[in-house]
Amino acid sequence: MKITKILTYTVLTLLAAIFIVPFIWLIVESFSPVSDLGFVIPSHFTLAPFYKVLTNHEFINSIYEGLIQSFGGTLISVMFSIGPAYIFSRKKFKLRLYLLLSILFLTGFPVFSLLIPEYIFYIKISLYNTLIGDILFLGVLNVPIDIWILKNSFDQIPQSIERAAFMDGASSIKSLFYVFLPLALPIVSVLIILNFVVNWGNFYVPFILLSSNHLLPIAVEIYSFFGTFNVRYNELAAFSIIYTIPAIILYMFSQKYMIKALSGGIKG
Amino acid sequence: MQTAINRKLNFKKNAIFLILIPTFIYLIIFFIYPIYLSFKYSFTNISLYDISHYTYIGFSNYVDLFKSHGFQNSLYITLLFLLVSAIFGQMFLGSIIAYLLTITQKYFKLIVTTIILIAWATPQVTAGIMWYSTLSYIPTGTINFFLSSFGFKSINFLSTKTAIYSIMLANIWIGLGFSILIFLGGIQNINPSIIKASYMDGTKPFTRFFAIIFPLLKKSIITDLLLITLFTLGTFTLIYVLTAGGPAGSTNLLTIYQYHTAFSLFSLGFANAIGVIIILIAIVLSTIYLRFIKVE
Repeated sequence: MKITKILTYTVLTLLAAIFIVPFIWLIVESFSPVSDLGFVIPSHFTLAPFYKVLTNHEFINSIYEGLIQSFGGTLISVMFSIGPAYIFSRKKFKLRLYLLLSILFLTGFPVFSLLIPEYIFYIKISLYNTLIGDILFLGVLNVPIDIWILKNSFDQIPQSIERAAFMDGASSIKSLFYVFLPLALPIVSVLIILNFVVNWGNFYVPFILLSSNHLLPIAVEIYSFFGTFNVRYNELAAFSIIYTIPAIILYMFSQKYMIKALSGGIKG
Repeated sequence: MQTAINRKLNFKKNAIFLILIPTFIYLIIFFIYPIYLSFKYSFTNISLYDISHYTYIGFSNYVDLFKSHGFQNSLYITLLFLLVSAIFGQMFLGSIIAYLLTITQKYFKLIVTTIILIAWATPQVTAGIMWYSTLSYIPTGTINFFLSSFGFKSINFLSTKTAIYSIMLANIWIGLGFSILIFLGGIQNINPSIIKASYMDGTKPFTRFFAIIFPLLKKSIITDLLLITLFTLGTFTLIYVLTAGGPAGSTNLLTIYQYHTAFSLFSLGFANAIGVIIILIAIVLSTIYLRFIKVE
């Protein structure tokens, strides 16, 4: 008994240590006065890389683009998901199960394989390399999973509340707006955060659908910075930290709901 | 008269279904239509040089694909990657680690879980850069720095032979948190008296896990398997930043192979055929997993 306990703690401590290792370079390098790709313990620590990154116009613009694209995509996906989620949660109708299953299918769809047809399609309808095209595709990718998360959360809100409103003569749509939505507000706000983080972390959509420098969001900017000749790695590390920390904090905050909704999602 | 009133009432009752229409139009234009396009273009010789002129060439893209060494290699790497990284690394190890976490002290559990979750929350571009500088051989990365300072020989983690294991490791690192969350939830739902009874019987911890807990986690296992298999099949960013499919194609997953075919070889028809194969693998694997749920 005692040996298994010691063994358990040792294994888990080792695991946690291994999980921290990749962060070491990022953190040490971001405070280093000189640029190293490999791991070098710097002579002294400095905030200069952060200062340099935050005064670089191109980087600031990419943060701004990242914010606009992530928020734009989020707004569109949440707007388009609330109505269908409400209907799937509350109404029984003929095609319900088939529609739900197709939404589930799209939730798990290997999206990357669609980017090349989407790219051709976008060139033909001249949405390629436009902000709105990028936002529309980021938005559509999250609609299926948002419908699932919202539907499963709406299932938890008791129906009796809207029935009472319905008895008082409110129509279905009125009861959705005035009675139901205020109750669903906490779930919707968590979903907004979650969508934002997913879009913020999305690299391949803007990477393939955008090409002008001034449109590239932070995720792509970091990658291109990493690939250029003569990279200043300490600035790259500082820039990556600025990019990563908000994502980690917001993700930690909203992950619980996502797991609940996803594991509840399969039983439909 | 009566029917007119009924119709009006019915319309009022059903008006809410109109909400579905904009969403479905949106999904059809930007999601379903590209799925159709990827099938359509996979039967053509469309090229990046001129996307408005192409001819239908039947199945010859697929025939060429299955004949090409690059594709066979890529398919093999992808399936190996799925097996080791998703099924063994994330699902199997994930369930064991989740179980070990439940038998440790509260704060210890919180700290270890948080560390694992931070890895999961890290954006993939950052993760790729971090892993590159951690595993790097020349210049000396973090791991080799520690190895050589303890007097060991440096190891080239990103060589033709070893790179495949490195991307598996990096992918397990980023994906493990998700599986652990699913399993922690699943273990919580197991009736505690069952676990207590096994303590009374004096079952060994090892047997307790595999004979009692693992079978009871069936629902979590299938949910987890389905989602992580699909996530792993669609992995692009982490591996693209870390190795870009190299060296010498040794980490050329199907997604990266598809990207290179489209944007380095300009052969969009061929790339769409690869995309269709990725979609088909996803459909086949999810149908198999969902079959298991239906049996329940």
